Amino acid sequence: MNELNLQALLLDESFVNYCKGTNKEDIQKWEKWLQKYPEHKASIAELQETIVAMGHYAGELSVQTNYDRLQSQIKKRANQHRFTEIGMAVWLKIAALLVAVGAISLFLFKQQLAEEQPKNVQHIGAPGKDDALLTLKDGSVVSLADIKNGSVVALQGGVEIQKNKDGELVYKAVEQGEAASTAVNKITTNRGNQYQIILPDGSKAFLNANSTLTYPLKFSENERHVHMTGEIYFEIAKIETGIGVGRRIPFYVETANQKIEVLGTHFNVNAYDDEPYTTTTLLEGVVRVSSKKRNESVLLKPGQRALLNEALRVENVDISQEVAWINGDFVFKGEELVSLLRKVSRWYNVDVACPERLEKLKFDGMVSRSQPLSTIIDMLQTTGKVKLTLNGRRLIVID
Amino acid sequence: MFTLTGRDLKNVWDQFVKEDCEDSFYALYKHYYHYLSYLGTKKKMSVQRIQDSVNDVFLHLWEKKTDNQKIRNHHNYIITVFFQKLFRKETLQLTDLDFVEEIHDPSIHHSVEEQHIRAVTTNTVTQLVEEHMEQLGTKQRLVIYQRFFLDLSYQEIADANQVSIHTIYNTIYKSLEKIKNNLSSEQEIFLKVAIGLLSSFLLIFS
Repeated sequence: MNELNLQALLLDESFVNYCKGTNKEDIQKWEKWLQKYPEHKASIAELQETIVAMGHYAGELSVQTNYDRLQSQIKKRANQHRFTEIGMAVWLKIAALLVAVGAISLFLFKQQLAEEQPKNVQHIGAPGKDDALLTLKDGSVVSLADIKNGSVVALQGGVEIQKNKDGELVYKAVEQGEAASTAVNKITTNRGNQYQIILPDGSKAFLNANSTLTYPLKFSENERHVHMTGEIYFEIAKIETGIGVGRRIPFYVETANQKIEVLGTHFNVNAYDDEPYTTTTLLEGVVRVSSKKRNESVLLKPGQRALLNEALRVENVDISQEVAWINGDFVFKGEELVSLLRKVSRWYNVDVACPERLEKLKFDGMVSRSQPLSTIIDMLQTTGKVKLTLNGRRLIVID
Repeated sequence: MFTLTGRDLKNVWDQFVKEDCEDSFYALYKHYYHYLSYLGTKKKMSVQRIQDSVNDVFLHLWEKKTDNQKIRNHHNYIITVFFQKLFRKETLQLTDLDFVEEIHDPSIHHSVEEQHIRAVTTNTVTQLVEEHMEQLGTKQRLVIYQRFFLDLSYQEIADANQVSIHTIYNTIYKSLEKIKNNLSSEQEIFLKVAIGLLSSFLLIFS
C-alpha cells in the first residue's frame, strides 16, 4: 500500500474514531497499523488534523448561525411583550380612559356612519396596493395614501416633498444650500403595500411590501448613503462632482448585514429577516457587495446575484424571475413552497402555516400581483400537490 | 466534543441565573447546542426540528429568568424541556425516555478536539480548512458537523437527513479530497519557492 486510499479510510468508522480520539480500541488498532507502516505516519497525521479541524469549524459555524437566529427571536419577542409588561394598575386606568373615549367616539362615529363608508380596510385576500408611511425629520408620520396626487406633502429645510401625478413621492430642492445633510426621512411600507419614490438625487427606489428606506433630505457632496430593510429595487442616477469630467459620486445601500457600492445602475436588494439570504440582483451596470461581518466583497455583473448569509457567493440568475414583482407579477420557476408562501404572506398580509414536510415542494407558475389571493390558492391546488384553506388572516397548507 | 464538564457547567449556569450574564448564556447555549443536537439526531428527528427545539429551550430560559432560580438540576431541566419541545409533548418526563445514561453524563463524549485545535491554529491545514468550511453550503457543512463533530455514524446521519448513506459519504469525501488537493498544491508551491531560494543562494556563492 504505497498511496493512502482516502475513500477506504473514510468509510472505515474506526479510522474516524481514531482521528477524533473517541474510542480506545480504535486508537490502539490504528497505532499498531502505523507501527507496521511507518511511511504513512505523516499523511495520517495530516489527515487527522484535517478531520478534526473540519469538525471544529463546522461546529462553530453551526452554533453561530443558530445563536444569531435565537438573538433575533429574543428581540422580536421583547417587542411583542412590551405592551403586556405594563403593570395592572396602569392597565385599569388606560381601560377606564378608553371606555370614556370609546363612548364619545361611538356617539360621533354613529352620526358620520350614514354618510361615509370606511375606506382603508383591506379585505382579507385582496391584493396589496400603493401605500406607505413617511416619517419626516421632526418624527411626524404622514400616511401617503391619504394625500392627493399632485399635492405637496411637506416642505423641510429648503426641500419640497411632493406626491406627483403618478402617485410617486418626489424630493426637490427649492432653496440652495439650506438642507442639513444629517436630517433624515424614512419611508415604510407595511405588509400588503408597495411604494415608489424619487430620492433627492433623482435616483428611483421601488419598495416592496414590509420594507423601509432611510435617506437624508439632501445627500452629501462626496457620497450618497441610504439604509434599507425588506426588498427594494433601485435605479441609481449617475452624478459627478463638478461639471464635465468630475469623479462619480458613489451611492451606498446598507442592510443589516451588507453594504453595496454603486456608481449608477439598476439592481434589486432582498434583505427580509425571514429569508435565508440577503440577495442582491444586478440588472445593469456594476455594483460591489460587501459583507459587514467579514472582510469580504464581490463585484457583480449584470445577470448575476450575490447571496449572503454567513459567506458571500455569486451565481448567474434568471432576472425575469428575480424582479418580476417590479412589473407587478409573481413568477415562480421551481420555487420551494416555503419561499413562495413568504412572498404571498407579505403581499396579501396573511400569516401562513405549512407542515415542514411540504416546505420543499417545488412549483412553477406566473400570476399578476393584482389578482386576489384566491387565484394563487386555486393555482396551487390544481397541481394536486397541496390543499390550502384561508381561515381569517391565516393561510393554512394541508396535504 | 463538549467543551464544558460537570463543575464548569454548574458555575456557568449559576452565573447566568444570578447575574443575568449574556456571556454565560452563550456558553450554555454553545454547550447544549451540540449536546442536544447529538441526542435529537440519535432520536431520528429532523435537523430543522432539533435546531428549532434548541432555540425554543433557550428562548424559554431567557424569558423565564426569575423562575430559573428555582431549578435544582439545570442539566435534567434543560434536557426535559428540550424533549418536550422536540416531541411536542408538554407532560413528557426524562423517565419516559430510554437512554438515561447519556442524559446524565454529557462528558462521556468529551474529546481532545479543543486542545488539539488550539495547538495547531497557526498551521496551514487549519487555515485551509477554515476557508473551505466557510465556502461550503449549509447542507454540506451540516453533514460534516454531524460526522466529524458529533461523531454520529453514516447511517444515523443518512436517517436524520433522509438521504442515502452514499450521498452522505460522497459529500464528506468530496470536501476532504478538495482540502487535501489544495494542501498538496500549497506544499508544492512551498517546495518550489524553497528550491528556488536555495538555487539562487548557490548561484550567488558559487
